[in-house]
Amino acid sequence: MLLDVPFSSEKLSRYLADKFEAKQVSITDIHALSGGAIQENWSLNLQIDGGKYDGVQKWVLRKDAPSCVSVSNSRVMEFAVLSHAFANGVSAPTPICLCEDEQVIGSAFFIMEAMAGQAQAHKLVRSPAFAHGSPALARQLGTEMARLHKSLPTAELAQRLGQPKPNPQAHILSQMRGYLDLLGATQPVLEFALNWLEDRMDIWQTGTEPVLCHRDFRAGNFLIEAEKMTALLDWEFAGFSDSHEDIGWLCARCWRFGNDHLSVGGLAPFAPFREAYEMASGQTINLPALGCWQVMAEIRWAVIALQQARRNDSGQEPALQLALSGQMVAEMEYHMLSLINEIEEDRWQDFRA
Amino acid sequence: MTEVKNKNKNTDDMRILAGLAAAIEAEFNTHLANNLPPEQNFRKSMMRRALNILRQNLANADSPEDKLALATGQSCAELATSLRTGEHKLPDSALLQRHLLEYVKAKLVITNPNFLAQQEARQK
Repeated sequence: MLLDVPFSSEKLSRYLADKFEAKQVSITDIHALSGGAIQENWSLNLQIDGGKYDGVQKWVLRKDAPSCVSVSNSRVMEFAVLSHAFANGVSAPTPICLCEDEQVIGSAFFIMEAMAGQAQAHKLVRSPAFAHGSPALARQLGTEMARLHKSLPTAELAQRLGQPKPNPQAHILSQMRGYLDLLGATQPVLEFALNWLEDRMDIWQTGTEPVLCHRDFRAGNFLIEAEKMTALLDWEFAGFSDSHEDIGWLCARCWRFGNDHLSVGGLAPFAPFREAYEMASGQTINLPALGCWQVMAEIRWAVIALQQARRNDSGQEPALQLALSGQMVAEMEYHMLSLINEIEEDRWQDFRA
Repeated sequence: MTEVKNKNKNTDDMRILAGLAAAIEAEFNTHLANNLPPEQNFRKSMMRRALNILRQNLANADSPEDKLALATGQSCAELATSLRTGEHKLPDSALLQRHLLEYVKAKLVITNPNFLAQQEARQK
């Protein structure tokens, strides 16, 4: 059971015992969780004798993969954002501890409580519960997202995340072009879509103050149980941005997993999401700007997929899952060209009632 | 003449590689896939997807990049660069969009023909 673990479980046990002043920490089961092409997640079942967490515990350890993509935050930063969100009432795993000492398992890691629920979006969209979309889930997602966007980061967290960019749209355009340059990637469709967005800056910019965004808030990154989100996961991309970036990402066509008619992650309709979000945030969703963020969502996922493929192609981290990510870029390109065409011809129906 | 010879050689190479890919696929499906435990289903589906892409790639003699270059008069790299600098040669954006869409569809024929079929049906 412990044979395939690429770090010392003894060292980890000793570290946890010291950290929580326990007499002994026994790891009764440890295994890699599926998904997470960028970070590694390990399920830990523990028997803890003494101290704050005395008893049986089910936790998740999250650490860096052997190589990472340029756009992801460090584990230290991710733990800080997770802790902030949890403290502000967002449904997220209870943060347990952060370890920056690379001697323990070879890289920084943090531990959080294991939460119940299904995250695999491909399975969720095929579930009978979501065949016609769940308005209740839509409302919950709207409320949870608004809660995060309304939360005010502490000065320390804000400093760690960096000053909010006064123009998140111009910033992300420049960031994506920079990433393409770093990859040495010649991607005419992505260049075309980036130009299209740049030409529509007056529509895309909402003039709202940047807020703390999750920036990977989508089906596949939250756990669902009985049509309710139990936890929002994977805080590695969090940062300040226009609130519409999160909404556009959640509603992007690439994250509907074939359930194209359900705009909210292929699981829920948009109208109840919008109503709940606007009520909880006090902010009106700007639909034309949201269309632009949908196009950007396709571009951003395409760039991340190219970065993931590069991890494989470079020999840094040979892995079929990473190689296949690169083969998905054409799907995002199809979505971005379709969206652009529909918006230009006034046929865009994604958020119409 | 040299060009024709090279093309023939490439076609022969492609045929050999396609045969090898088909053999790997048959070996995997006949002798390995059914013996894998359920927790390996994800890996199994990744293997099948990768083999499909390989097969489609080898079956398509002209690359999507070549087709795009033929349509626009610029290589893929030149077109990307000229789009970045705002100097692309095509007379209007609508024509460029059409060429790009055809290019994307040609890539999808290789990487995910089911996705393309579903999306095309949705657009109708």
